[in-house]
Amino acid sequence: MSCATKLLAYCVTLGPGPEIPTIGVIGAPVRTVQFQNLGCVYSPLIPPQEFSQEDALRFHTVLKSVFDQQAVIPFRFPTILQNETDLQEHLRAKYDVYSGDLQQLKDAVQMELRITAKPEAVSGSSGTDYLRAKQQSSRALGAASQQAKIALSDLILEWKERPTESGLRCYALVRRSDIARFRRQLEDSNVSGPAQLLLSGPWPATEFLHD
Amino acid sequence: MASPNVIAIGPDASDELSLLDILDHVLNAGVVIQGSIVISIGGVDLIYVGLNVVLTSVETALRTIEADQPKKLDRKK
Repeated sequence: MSCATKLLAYCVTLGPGPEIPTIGVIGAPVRTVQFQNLGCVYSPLIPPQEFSQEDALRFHTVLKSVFDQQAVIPFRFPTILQNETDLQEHLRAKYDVYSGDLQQLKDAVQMELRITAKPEAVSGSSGTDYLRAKQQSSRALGAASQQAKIALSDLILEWKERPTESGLRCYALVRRSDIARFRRQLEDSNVSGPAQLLLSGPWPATEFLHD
Repeated sequence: MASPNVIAIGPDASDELSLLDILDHVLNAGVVIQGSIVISIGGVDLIYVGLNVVLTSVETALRTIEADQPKKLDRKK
């Protein structure tokens, strides 16, 4: 691996540069580069042999400090580019997509729900019992998703859901100003049955980006 | 009254579940630049191994937190 300085990309933003932390991953400075009305937050650094969990959390801290101010399109950690020219070229190539997404999502955040069955809901003394319980559990997950969606319907701009190994993962696009109401309405909702909901967010609206 | 079926966590690493959720997002969500150099955590394969561990941990954690659910709910209030 080369020891030359490269760029660790954090995120793309729209408009005037956000306030950024001075120190990023592995103590590197945090900077921005502009291309037309897009900005990109990055750190010049010499990539280590291995990034640590601490580095990933520092990446999150930088990202969150920008996301707290405005919509962002994050890069996955760790995305390394050779130099600022490559970064500018990437922004140029993706300008229409990034600019369009950031305009569309500028006042929105992503809230996430993981809906899983409670452990006892899928147990059974025999194979038949287990399959029956699994089928009921699957119905219960769908019902819980519907209940949640109805309880939040006045706040949801867009909704996506995806089955996972253990249940359903739902993504709600919500106005930034509605985050507290979203949490409250979900917590006050009467979601019942053998389903458990884990609410997480706000996150950058990565599930609603176009590519 | 809050639904006993809903647990809220946030993007601040205040507990283990939130920490796993943050790592899940940092490693999983966002733009991937094709053709760029992506440096792995512990080698290319380990990115995916690590990712699966994180994902599994989050999903598995959901199944195992029920026992101390009242404690976690209290902490969020």
